[in-house]
Amino acid sequence: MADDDRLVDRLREVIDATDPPPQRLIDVAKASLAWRTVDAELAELISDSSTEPALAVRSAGEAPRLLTFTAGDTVVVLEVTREAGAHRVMGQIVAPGAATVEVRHSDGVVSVTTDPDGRFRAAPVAGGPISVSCRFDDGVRPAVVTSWVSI
Amino acid sequence: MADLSVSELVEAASRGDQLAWDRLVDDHASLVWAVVRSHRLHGGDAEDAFQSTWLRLVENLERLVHPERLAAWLVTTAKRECLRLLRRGGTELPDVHIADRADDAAPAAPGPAEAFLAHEEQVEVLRAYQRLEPRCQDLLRLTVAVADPRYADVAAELDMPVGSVGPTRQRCLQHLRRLMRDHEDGATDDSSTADVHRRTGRR
Repeated sequence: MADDDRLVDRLREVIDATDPPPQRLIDVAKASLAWRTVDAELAELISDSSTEPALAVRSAGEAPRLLTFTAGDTVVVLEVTREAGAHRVMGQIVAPGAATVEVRHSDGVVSVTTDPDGRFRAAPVAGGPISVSCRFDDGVRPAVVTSWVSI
Repeated sequence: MADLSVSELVEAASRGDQLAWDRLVDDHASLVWAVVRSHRLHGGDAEDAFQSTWLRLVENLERLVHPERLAAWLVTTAKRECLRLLRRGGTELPDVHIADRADDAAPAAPGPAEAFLAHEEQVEVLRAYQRLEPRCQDLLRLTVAVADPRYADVAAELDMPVGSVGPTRQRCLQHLRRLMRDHEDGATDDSSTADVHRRTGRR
């Protein structure tokens, strides 16, 4: 119906003019292609303490948020704590192996190495979406990158 | 680039083609934003949901089973991101960082949104739209943001059967038109629209 089409066009103009997606966010979205990882296995989030009711109530204070990701035989556990306006991420890779870990966040990347038990600590990490990539020193085990999660 | 299909753009972007990716973002940004707004997210949460949706697409570019149905995938993903943020909402403590970022994602106009509209007719449409019930606002906003005339992705977002989107949209448009007409018949006080015309120099 031509009348409807015209009204819909008007409405589109009105919405585009009054509440468009902010240009800054569009630019960030365009830049996010740089986070593409071609040679790593994706570790999916399998548990998040902030969405478990019992824990969420208890952790209303300053208790850390626990996030668990798995890819094949590799498990990545992250413990996120608020710290002076940003966050601290403590992590553990299971099965352990010496690795270079990158915590990728909205303001950049924090690069650290694990201890022999697969533990690492990264700070400061900005709030918003983060993802952690682990490249193992042995050069055999495939790299793992966690799915993005908002902290 | 102009004549590439969505699947071809997805394929090119998955190989790292920045131009193809930019095009995908430009073509679907309004749709993702419409989903975020339909969950009443604002400020830092709106920004997070929008950003997370695109990051999720980057990590899944090579895994999309139906790249030609990207719009539907984005709607489903954005919705999931919004729900995830809302579920966390209760335990979220406001912090300085989020307050900083909130400015960027606030509604476009700090004052009346009408200041951004050049024509009186657009102001009438906006006023009527704002008086619609929320579900109609969401549905209309989503349908104007998608190219697909079957509205399969809109149906997914609103948990409606695909077949009922078209008729509901029709009803919402009628309602919108009625609200515009009521306004014309009733309050004919034009001082506020004159005010809008004075302010249109802003953009």
